[in-house]
Amino acid sequence: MYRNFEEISKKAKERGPCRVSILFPDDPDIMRVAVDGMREGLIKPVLVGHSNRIKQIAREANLPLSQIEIREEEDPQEASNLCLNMAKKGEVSFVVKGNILTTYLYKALIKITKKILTDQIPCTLCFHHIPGLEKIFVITDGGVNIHPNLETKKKILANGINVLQRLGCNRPRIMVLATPCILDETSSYSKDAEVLRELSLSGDLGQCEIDFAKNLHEAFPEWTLQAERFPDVFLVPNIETGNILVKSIDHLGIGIRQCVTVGAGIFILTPSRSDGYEARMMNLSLGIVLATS
Amino acid sequence: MELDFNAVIEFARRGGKKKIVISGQKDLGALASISQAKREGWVEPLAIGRSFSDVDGEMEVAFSSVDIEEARLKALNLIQAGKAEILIDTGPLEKRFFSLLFDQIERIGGGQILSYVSLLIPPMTGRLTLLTDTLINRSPKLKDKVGILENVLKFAGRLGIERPKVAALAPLELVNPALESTLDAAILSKMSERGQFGPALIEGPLAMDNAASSSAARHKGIMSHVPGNVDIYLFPDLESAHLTAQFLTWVGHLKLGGILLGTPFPIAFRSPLERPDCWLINLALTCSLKR
Repeated sequence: MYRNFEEISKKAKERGPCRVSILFPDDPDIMRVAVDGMREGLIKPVLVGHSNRIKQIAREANLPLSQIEIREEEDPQEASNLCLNMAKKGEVSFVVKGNILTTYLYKALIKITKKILTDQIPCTLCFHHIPGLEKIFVITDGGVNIHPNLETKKKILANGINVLQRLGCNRPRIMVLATPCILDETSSYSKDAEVLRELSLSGDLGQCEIDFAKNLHEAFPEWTLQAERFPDVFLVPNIETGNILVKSIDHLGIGIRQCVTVGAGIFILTPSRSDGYEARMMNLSLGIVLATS
Repeated sequence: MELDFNAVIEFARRGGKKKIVISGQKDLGALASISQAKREGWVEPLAIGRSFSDVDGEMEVAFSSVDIEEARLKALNLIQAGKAEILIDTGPLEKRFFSLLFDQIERIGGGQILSYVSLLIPPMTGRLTLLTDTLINRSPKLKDKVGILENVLKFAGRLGIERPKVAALAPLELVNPALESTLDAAILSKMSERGQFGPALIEGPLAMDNAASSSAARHKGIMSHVPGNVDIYLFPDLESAHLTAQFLTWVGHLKLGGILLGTPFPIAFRSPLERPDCWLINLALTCSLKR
C-alpha cells in the first residue's frame, strides 16, 4: 500500500501513458493538466466538449492542442455518456471530470452500472493523506449514495475493498463510522456498523477486517494514532457526513483529498471544480495507478 | 486582531469573579485549570463530594462524604438557591449524568433546545471558528436547527463576534428536493435574508468546499459574503458534525474547546471531543455566558 501521494506519482510515471477522456476541459488549469500530463508521458488525452470553447481557452492559455484529439459534444449529459462509453469499451483507461457538474457523470455511471453489473453500485472514494500519519486512507461514500441502507453499504464496501486490493492492501482494515451514543441508547448507524462487523467475521464481505471501534474516540482513546492500527477505509453513515468530512480535510487545512468515483469497473476522477493545477496533476497519477493495477 | 483561544481566556480574566460549584470525579487536569483560574481571580470554586476530599486547601470543599451522584444533586441545588452561578462537572459523562441534568433543566424550564458548540482554529484561516451541533441533537428537524442557530448566535455575540457569518452546510450547494439537508439550509438562508436572525448572515446550502473557500464559491456562481469568512458552521446532523470534529482533532491535531448551550445556567464539562488539556478553555467559554 502506498504511504503518500509522492509514491503514487512515482509509480504513475513508470506506468503511463494512459489514454484518457477529459470531459469539458474548458478551464485553463484543466487544459494545462491535459497538455502537461501528455508532455510528461502520463496520459494521451481525448478532450470531450465544445470544441470551439476548448480551442479558445487553449489559445488564451498559450497551450498547443495540435496533437490532441477533440470530440465535439456540447450537451453535458450526452458528453458524459460518451466518455463513460469510451471507458466501458476500453478505448480509454479512465475518465477525468473537467468543468462540469458531477451529477451528469453520476447519472451516466449509475445507468451503465445498472445495465452491465446489476449487483454493483457506484460510489465515490476519497483518498487522503495527513502530515504525520504515514499512510493513505480512503473515506467513502461522500458523493453518490444519499442514505445508503445495509445492502448498499455492503456494495460500497465491496468497491472500497476491491480498490484497496488493487493498490496492494490485501486485507483492508475498515472502520464503519457512527457517532458514540452519549445521550441515546443506540442509533441505526451504530446497528448497521455492528451487523457489518458480524458479516465480516463470517467472511461474507471478502478479505477485510472491520474494526470493533466505530469512531476515532473509541479506537484511539489515548489520542495517539498508529499508522498500522489506523483504518485503510472509513465507511461513513450518510452522504452529509461523507461529503462534509472529506472536504473539511483539505478545505480546513489538515491534509490532502483526492477523489475517484468507481462503478462497473470504470474509474472517473472527480476533483472539485475548485481544485487547482497541482491537485489535478496528482489526481491524474492516482487514476493511472488505479487503472493499471 | 483575530479571535483565538488566548483572547477567550483573556475575556474571562477581565470578566470578573464567578462563583462556581464542582461535581464529578477527581480530574487532575480540571482541578489544575480551576486552581489557575482561582489564582488569576476569575473564579471562586466550591467542590462537592468525596472525590475532592483530599484537595482541601487548594479550594473549598463541601459535603466531603457524599458520592458523585449525590454531589451532583447538591451542586444543582446550590445553583438553584443562587449560591453559585456556574456548574462544572468533571465526569464521568455517562448517560446518568445527562438524564439528571436534563431532568433538572426540565424542572427549571427555559424552553430552549440544548445544543453543543465545538470551537477550533482551522490552519487555513487562523481564526476562531464554531461548529454546531457536535454532541446533542442526532437528526435535528428544521425547527430544531432554528433553535441550534439561535443558541450559537447568542453565544457568538458573547464572544464579541458582531455580525456572525454562518454556513448552513449540506452535501452540495444546490437545493435538491431529495436531500432534506439542502432544503433546511435554503430555508434558514431565506429566513436570514428576511432579517429573522438579526444581523447574522446565514448562507446555504453550502458544501464544505464552497463554504470554506471564496474562490470555490465563485467557481460555482455563489455570490455571498459568507464563503471564505465563515464564523459558524451549522451542520445538517450529528453524524456529520461529530465525526468531522473528531477527524479535525484526532487526525488533524487541532485543539478543540466546547460548550453546552440552551441550559438555564452555565455548565462546563469535557465532552469526548476535547483533549484533557481543554479545561481552561471550556471554563473560560462557560464564564463568558455570565458576563
